[in-house]
Parts: sequence; structure tokens; C-alpha cells
Amino acid sequence: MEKVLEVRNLKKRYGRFEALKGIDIDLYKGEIFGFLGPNGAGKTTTVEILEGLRKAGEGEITFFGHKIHGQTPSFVKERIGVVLQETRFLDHLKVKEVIELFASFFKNAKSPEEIIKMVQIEEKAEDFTDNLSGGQRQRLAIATALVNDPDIIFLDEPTVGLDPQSRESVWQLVRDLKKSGKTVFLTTHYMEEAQTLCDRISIIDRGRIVASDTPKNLIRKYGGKSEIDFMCAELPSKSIIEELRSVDVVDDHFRIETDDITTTLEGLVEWSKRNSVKITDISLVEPTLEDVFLTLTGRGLRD
Amino acid sequence: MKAFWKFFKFHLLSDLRNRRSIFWVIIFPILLLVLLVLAFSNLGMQGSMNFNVILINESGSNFDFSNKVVQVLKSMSFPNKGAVFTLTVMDPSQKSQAIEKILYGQDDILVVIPQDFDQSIARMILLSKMGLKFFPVSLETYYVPNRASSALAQGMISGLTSQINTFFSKTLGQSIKNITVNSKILGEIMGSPSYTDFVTPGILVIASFTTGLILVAPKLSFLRYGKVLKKYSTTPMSPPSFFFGFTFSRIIIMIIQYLGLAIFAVFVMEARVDIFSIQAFLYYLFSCAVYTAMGFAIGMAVSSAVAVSALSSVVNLPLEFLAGIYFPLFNLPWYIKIFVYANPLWYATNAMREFLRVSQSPTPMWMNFFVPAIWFGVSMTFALLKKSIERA
Repeated sequence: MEKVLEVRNLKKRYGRFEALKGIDIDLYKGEIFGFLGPNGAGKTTTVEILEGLRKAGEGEITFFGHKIHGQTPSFVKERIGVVLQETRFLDHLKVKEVIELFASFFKNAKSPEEIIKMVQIEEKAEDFTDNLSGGQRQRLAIATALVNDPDIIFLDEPTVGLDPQSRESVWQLVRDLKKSGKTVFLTTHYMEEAQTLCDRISIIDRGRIVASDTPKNLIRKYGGKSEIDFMCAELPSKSIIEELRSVDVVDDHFRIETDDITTTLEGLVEWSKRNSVKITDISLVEPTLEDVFLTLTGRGLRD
Repeated sequence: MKAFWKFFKFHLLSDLRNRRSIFWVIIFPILLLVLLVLAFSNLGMQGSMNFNVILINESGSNFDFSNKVVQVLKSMSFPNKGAVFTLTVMDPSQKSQAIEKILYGQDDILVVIPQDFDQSIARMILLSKMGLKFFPVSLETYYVPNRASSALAQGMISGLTSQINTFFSKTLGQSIKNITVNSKILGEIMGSPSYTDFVTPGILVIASFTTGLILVAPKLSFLRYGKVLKKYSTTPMSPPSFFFGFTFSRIIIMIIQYLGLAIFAVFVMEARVDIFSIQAFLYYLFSCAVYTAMGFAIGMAVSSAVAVSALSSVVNLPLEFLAGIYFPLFNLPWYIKIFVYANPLWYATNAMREFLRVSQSPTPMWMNFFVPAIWFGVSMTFALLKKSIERA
């Protein structure tokens, strides 16, 4: 796969504080890459360096095969789009005018009409930005990042503060971007968002990347065991219970931790038949990215 | 260039569509002018006020008319009942000293009975008895129209001529109604200005200064904390195109202010100011640049729109009141004078009054450029330094 961004050993200091201690990131064309980390981990610093908002300290950044020294140069900015968290727009401007303004920054920009159609806010084109809903504002923010038909789009917390319906519509827009061959660099605090959208995820903590992989692999490696909770109609005898290895009795139900849910479930069914134990309720708890986070950083995603 | 025009166009549109901005920037200065003129143009004409009047009698003839005038003025001064002024009589040899006292605000008006006053009165009586044509006799007054108390004293002395005429009618049995006042204006260019003339240049200064604070500082703060500037910075847009596009859109609004306010002042309020003065307009543009820079500095200094508004008010009020815009400044204690001498609005008001041909600037013209230019330099340096620190 074609690599569109390569970051090697990126470091950044603020006075005596070392915000980034050597970050490596690879971004491939057409993927949705999730960049997660608790507050203060160095996530914003990394993203702002890549977006051209801050100067890099040490390290090497290669955009589209070109090594970058210092600030992100214009030719790179021509090929990236950025959606910042909760961007506001000038008051008393129409949607079309905002896009027109952003289009004027680029050498090759799409027409405002084309962009408006792409993010599906045609009916709001002549409305003032002050009158847009949260979801529509976010679509407009994405539209301003698409005016230059970018190869990489940085999305910083694109669904913060949105209702579920608006969130789903933004997710669909992100999926559409991927379908059209764009690369998306997504930072988010929403575990579900990262798990649903991202092809690969890197987790940063205390200035270092602590894990990088697909969401599934991360969960498998660091998420811990799955849990099977079940209740029985009558309490089985101690000897019958002991047939199940590593079972915990929690209040009035039983809990089994396992790495292999399917095999364990099969064994449990077999055990109930064999001992004529009637299972009245059963539930599965699978590890999530939240668990991955806790394991890797000792903190929750929103801490 | 494309981005510059779009910044210019859309920042201008954004404000021209905002009713709140239009009120504060265009309508409020006009209202302020009207209110000030209504409130203060008749100040002191009613109620009790005390003016300091110096009288010099240069007439030294055998006739006694000049002494009659002295008598009338003394009878109307303190400690007599109903007096509105304190009279100091000085020797003709002290005339230049008396003029200085008026110029520097120690006294309000100098009344001089000229050398030929007695002879002129005698000639006038004779000619009038013979039914021949005669010319009015004048008392000379020296005053500073730029200073409210002096201007009011001048009005009062002009009013007193009718009482002097009545006095002559009674004592001489001769009706002489042609004693007039010949005013000598000190420090003025185009004659005795009204309060409207006096206050109009200052209102122009306030208008552009307020725009610098209202339409630059909070807007910049919004652009920073609403992450709009950050968003611009992620694009290949060049910072100068934003800076100049944004700044010129503010300056266009200030020019609209200038035209609106000047036209209103001249054609509605009948202010006698030279609105076609190129020098005044160029100085106004220079002031706009200074206030825009101050707006940039405030916008970069504080972290929220509320804090910007608070800081703007803190900066705005003292600077306006210490600029001699509403009332002339004189007899200030030294510690207040320091603020006046550092105040760019004071220099701007002085320069605008001179360029609009209202009154001479009490400060050298180079100072009227130099001090605001220092404010411009310091403000822009601060704003740019703050920006570069944030970017590191």
C-alpha cells in the first residue's frame, strides 16, 4: 500500500517538559487511521505538528514522499484538509460564502457548489452559518476541509457534542471519504467511533506510542479476557461446579473468564447437559478499546 | 491576492450585516455628537458660574467714558449681588502677561478698553447728535474658544454690552447702542468655534478608536478562541493576506464612519469644520492604523471575548476623558498630565482640530504623529510576538 505519511522519532519539548518522546506513525493511502490517547498524552501536539500549526522538535516527517523540515510547507497544505474540534465560523456569513472564502486559500479548489453537494447541505447553502444545527455546522467544517480535494483529511473529534443521528451522518460522510480513496487521520475520544470507523489505531501515552494495530488485534492483545455470566435455576453441587475450571461465583450468578468464547460456550452447554443443570440466563461481556486503554495507559479514554 | 480580497470582502460583509456593529460604529458616534451638543452647548448660560475676567483700560484721555465701562463691569462682578464673574484690573503695561494668563487657562477672558475708546465715544455722540453716520465703538476681548469656560465668558461679555449701552443711555441722556465687542481669538484658526465645532474632531477620533476596540479586539479574540485562525493556519493561506484583508475591512468601516459623521456634523449639526481637508483625512487614516494595532494587541493579550470587552472599557474610558474631547483640559495636576501626555487620543484630537481648521494644536504637529506612532509600534510588536510565541 502507498504510504502517504511517515513520522519517525518525532520529538517536541515545551521548556523542560518533553511532550513527545519519539513518535513513529505510518499512514497508508485510503485508510482511516485512529489516533487515540488520554488528555495530556501528546496527541494534540502530534496532530498540530502534522497539520502545520506547530513546529516539530526533532525527528523526521515525510508527506507524500517529501521530507519536511520545520513547519509544514504550502505544497503539503495544498494536499491536506483539516477539521478542528468545534471550529466556529465568521458570524453573518452564508454557508456558500464560508466555503468560497476557504476555496480562495488554495491553488486548485473545487467549486463551492460541488463541495456543498458532496457534504449534502445543499438546502442550507444560502443560510447564515449562525442558523445551522450542530450536525450541519460539522458538515460545513468538513466541507471547508474538502475544498482543495485533499489526499489526507485530519479530523479532530469530529462528532463531539453531536446527537446520535448527526453523529451517524458524520460517520457516513467519513466512510464515503474512504470510499473515494481519501486517507483519514482521526482523533477521537469516542471508543465506539474509533472501533467502528478505523482500519488501524495508534495509542499514545506520555509522549510515546504504546500500541499500533487494527482495533481487533489491539483488543485481542490488550483487551483482556471475555466474560461469560450465567445463572442456574438451582444451585449445582460443589463437585459439579468444580468441573468448570476457573469459575467465580458472584452473588447469585457465575462468571467464567476466557480467551476463546466459542470453545468455552460449547463446553458450558456440554456441562449443563451432562449434569442436567438448567441455565436460566446467560450474557457475554467482550473487551473493548476502553479495556485496551486501561491496560495500556492505566487511564480511561476520557480521563 | 485572491485570499486578500475574500478576507476583505467577507470580514466587511460580516460586520455590515451585524446590526449591533452598525449601531456602535455608525449610529452611536452620531448620537453621541447630538447628545453632547444638546447637553453642553449652552453650558453655563443658566445658573450660577464664576468666570475670571481681567480688565485693562488703555484709554487715557480726558473723557470719562472708559471709566464708566470699568464702573459697570465692577458693579457686576463679585462681591456684588448677582455677580457672575471675578474682575481683576491690570495695568496696560501688563497686557502680554494678561494674554498669557488667558492662553494657559489661569483666567477666562481679557477685556481691553482700547486707547481711542473715549475719543471714539465722544465722536460718536457728536455725530449722532448731528444726525450723521457713525461707526460703532468696540471693546476688545481676548479669549480661547477651544476652552469651554473661556468661550462662555466671551458670550457673557458680549451679553454685557447691552447693559453698558443702557448705562450710557441713562447717564448721558443719549441713546448709544453701538458699543460692540471686538473679539480677539487666542489659539484659534477659523474664528470662534461653537461646541459642535469643538467636539466634532474629537468624536471622529473616538469613532475610529471605538472601532479599533470593538471591531478588531473582540473579533480577533473570537477568531483565535473560536479556532478560526488556527483553521486558516492549516491552509496554504499567507498570513499577510489575512492581516491586510482583515485590517483594510476595518479601515473601510472607519472611513464610512468618517464620511457619515462628518457629513452629519456639517450638514445637520452645522459644525464649521473643513471636512474636505486632505490632511485631516490622511491623519484620520493614520489614526485608524494606530487604533487597529491597539485592537490587535488587546485581542492577542486576553483570552476571551468577555475579557476583551472588559479590557476595552478599561482602556477606552480614561483615554477618551484624558484626550480633551468633551471638555478642554487645563489646570491638571502633574500626575494626571503624565497620562495626558502619553495618551494617543489627545494628540489625535489636537491634530484633527488643527487639520479640520477648528483650532491650533497645543502640541507640536510632529508630536501628534510621533506619540501615536510609538503606540502603533509597541502594539504591533506585542501582537506579533504573542503570535509567534503561540506558534512555537
